[in-house]
Amino acid sequence: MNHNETKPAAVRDNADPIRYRTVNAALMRIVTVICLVCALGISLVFVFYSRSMILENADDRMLSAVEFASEWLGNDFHDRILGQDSLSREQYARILDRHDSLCRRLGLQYIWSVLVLEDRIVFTSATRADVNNPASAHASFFETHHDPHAFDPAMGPPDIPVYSSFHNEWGEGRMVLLPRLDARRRRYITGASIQIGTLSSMVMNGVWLALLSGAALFVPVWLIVRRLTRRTTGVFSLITAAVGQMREGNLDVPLPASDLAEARQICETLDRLRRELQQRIGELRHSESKYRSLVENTSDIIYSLTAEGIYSFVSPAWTRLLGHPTAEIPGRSFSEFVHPDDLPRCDAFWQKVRDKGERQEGVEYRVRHHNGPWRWHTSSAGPVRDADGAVTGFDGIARDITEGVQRGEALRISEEWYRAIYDTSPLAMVVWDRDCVVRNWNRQAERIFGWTREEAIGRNFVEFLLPESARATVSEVVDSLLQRRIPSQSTNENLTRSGDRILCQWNNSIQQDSQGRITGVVSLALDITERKRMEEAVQAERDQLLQVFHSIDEAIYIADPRTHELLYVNRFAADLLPGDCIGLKCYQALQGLDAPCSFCTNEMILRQKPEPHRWEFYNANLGRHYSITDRIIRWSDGRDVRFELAIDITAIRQSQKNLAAKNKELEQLVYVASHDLRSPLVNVDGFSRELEFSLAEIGGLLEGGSDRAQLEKVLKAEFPDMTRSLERIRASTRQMDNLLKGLLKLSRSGRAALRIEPLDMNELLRQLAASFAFRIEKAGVALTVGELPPCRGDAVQVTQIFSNLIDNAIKYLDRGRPGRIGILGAAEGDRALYRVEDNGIGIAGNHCENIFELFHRLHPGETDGEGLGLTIARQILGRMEGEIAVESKPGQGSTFIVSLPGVKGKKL
Amino acid sequence: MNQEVIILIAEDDEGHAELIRKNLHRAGIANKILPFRDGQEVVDFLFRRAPGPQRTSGEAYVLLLDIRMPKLDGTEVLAQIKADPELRKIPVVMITTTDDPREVERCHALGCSSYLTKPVEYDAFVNAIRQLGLFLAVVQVPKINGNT
Repeated sequence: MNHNETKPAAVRDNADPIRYRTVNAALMRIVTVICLVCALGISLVFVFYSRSMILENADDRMLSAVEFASEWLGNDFHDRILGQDSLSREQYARILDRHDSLCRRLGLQYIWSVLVLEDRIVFTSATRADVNNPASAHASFFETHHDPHAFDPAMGPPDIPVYSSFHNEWGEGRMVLLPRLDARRRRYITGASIQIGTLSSMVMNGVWLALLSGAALFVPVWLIVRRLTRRTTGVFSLITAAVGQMREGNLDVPLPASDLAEARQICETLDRLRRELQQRIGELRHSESKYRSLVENTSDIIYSLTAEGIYSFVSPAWTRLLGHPTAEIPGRSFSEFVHPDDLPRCDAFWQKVRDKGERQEGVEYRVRHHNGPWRWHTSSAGPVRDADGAVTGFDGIARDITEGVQRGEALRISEEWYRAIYDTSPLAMVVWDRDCVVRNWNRQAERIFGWTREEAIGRNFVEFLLPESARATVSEVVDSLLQRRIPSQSTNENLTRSGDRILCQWNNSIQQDSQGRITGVVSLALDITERKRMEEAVQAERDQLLQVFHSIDEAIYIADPRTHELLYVNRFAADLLPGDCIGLKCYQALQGLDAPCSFCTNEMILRQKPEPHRWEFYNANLGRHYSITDRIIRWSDGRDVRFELAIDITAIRQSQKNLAAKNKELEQLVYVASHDLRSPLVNVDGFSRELEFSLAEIGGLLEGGSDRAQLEKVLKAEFPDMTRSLERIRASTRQMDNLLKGLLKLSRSGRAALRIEPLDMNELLRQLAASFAFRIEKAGVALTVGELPPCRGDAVQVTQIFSNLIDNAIKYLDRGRPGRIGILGAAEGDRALYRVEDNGIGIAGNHCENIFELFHRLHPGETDGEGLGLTIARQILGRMEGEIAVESKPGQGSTFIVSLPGVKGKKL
Repeated sequence: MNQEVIILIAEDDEGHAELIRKNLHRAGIANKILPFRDGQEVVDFLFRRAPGPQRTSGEAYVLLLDIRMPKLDGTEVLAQIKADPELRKIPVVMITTTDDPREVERCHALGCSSYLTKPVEYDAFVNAIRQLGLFLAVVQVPKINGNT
């Protein structure tokens, strides 16, 4: 449509006359073919002609030779060869020479003569050269014609030459036989043959000749024809070509000049037509460019569809609206882009356009954008017709209306949504006007208040919804609403149709008209009667529970496990803690720490909730042992909080400890009973039996009437044994008595009532030292007592302990050096420590623990004692939360360390 | 039992020691007997740790060991002997008034050869020592070398 404006140069190239030669090519081809056919015909005629000429010539030559030879030999020649006066050898050779010479001159192959006898045919002469050479053509000839029938054709009437053709390996040949009768009526035949081997080459020569002659004929004919066409048909060919170019749009093609009047006329007409056409095209192009700019710049898509619904054109707006490059669209189907649900509607539209035959509007459908989303389009389209008026397609304009559709859809959804809320809301919705008259009343309002919509609308709500008590408050709410104080909330009692009072929570907002005047109020009400009741019940329950906690004499607290904030402590716990600790961090209030405790169980109980975590803990801040149960419970505001019940088991711990000590003591007692008390019994029984044995022996001697000398001898022998036995028995009974006394003493000391009080140890030791003054002086010991811290204990028992320690120190002094005993003291933390040091014999390391055992004595033979002192000391200390230990080096001395609870803060 | 074997009796109660000695004698045991009054003494003798009597290398010993003794009790003595590669060859017979099963088990665990309860009733005591005598008569006692 638009290429003619871009190709004038090419058109000028096409105007070159050389190009028109092709126009005459067909004519020239015809001339060429005619010339070739003529040449072929001439050559064929020539070939046939020359062949017959050759054959005729050959036959003439042969006949001449044969007639000559026959005449020359004469009709009695064979008799001369065969008869008495036969030819001499020289004469016969001359005959043969003449044959040869004749053959050479006439270009023959062979000449021969034969005599036909009754039973056979005899050669009488022949061309010679070949007789001696069996491999020659000559020999072959005779072989070939050896059979008698070879001469059969010559058996006809005499003197008439018979011609025949033959073929052999050298090609075609010709033979003539001339039969004659001799005087004796015997038939003799003279023959000659010729080998026409050159015949085919002659034919080829003929062909070449014909071609040459054809060419010679063609060139002048061609030149003549060319000259003629250039003068006449050439002009018209150029005009035809120019018209073809014009048809293709090249209106600037040059028209040939000619001296032919007809051609000139045609060219002038063409030139006029072409100028008119150029003018028209200029106008068309102008209008098309306007149309094009319109199509390209409009925001709507302008498109053309074929009757089958294939796009043939879309305007650039397609790219703007739908994203695809415009060039991609032609050739693709309308249905390819349109939403499947909308296709039936579109098909109906196209059918309508087709049926009505005119432009239709208003079909709406979704088209897929290049990026995926659907866009709403509305389109109008009209039919395109061909020359016969049949609809061949559609031209249309499509506009994007997505936003409008979406707005409409959103509006519809919003309305539905509000309608659904209105109908299904758990809130009662009441719309009322400035006069408190109900204008709207939803289903939930019907349910809550019992009045139907019909009953409620039109009535003043103050009359039927408000009890007397609530009217004043509601009236204030109404006033403030009408003064636009929003949002407005109120909780008040309302009446139901049945007269029940319910508690409702109201949320109010105002309705305004377009001028901003208040037309009414929308009130939403929630029936919170039940909720309120439950909240109160829960609150009461909770208060009661916390009250119960207050009455429990164990520590209970509740803290937020995330913020560590104390939410609740019961009265018992509050009494343990300083001041009001609610709101403090639990680790501050309970442990006196600045950061969460290292042993905090919050993570654990949160992880395993609601399973409790039970553990025991010594609170150094309070100095108490606790058995603790932690678990997560739900607090009134719904959060998970830590509930801790801490049961003070300090006393239980102490009694457990005491019990363990008692058990050990008891075990030792049993052990002692089973060993130490049995030991003397073994001796008592053993030695009494030994005594019995001795007495039995003596008794036997007495009864047996032994003589005095023998009796005396036995008595002397047995007497020391018996004495020793009695001593051992008595020693054992003493030992047993001591053991029993010791046990009694231990028992008493274990049962003695304790009066725990702060003790001034300096005073106590001073008095004790005074009581030891005599023994110390006697033993020559230096006793020094340092400054001692006070402690808590029973004065009598503590005195007993130190008395035992000093007694031991004196008892186990090293005799080899002057004794020194020192008593030193120091407060360490909440304990008071006392050291009783001596420079005595010391105790080996492996004996240090044994010395506290009941009745254990390291040196039973060397010193007095019951093996009770240290046992009693440890027992007493166990009852007073005290401890005793020993450090010793054998040969250097021992140090007994006594630890007792200290007295806090003050010195006595 | 070879007459050269020396019987060591560690017993703090002299009366007990005498009764044992007497009844061993009656059971036909005529070997040399060495008495010790507590555990420390017998350990010092065997391990040659302190001045006083010490064992000589190449002798064979049998030890009769009381459990409850001053300074070092019988189980500790047993533990020390059984911990020594040479002395552990000595047959040790526990002779004690305690028949506490825990004590018996402990001594066997430590490796005592036999455990004998001293009965209070003398006939039983005599019988027990006689059986000990029989045991000592048949037991093969190795000689103890080394210097520990």
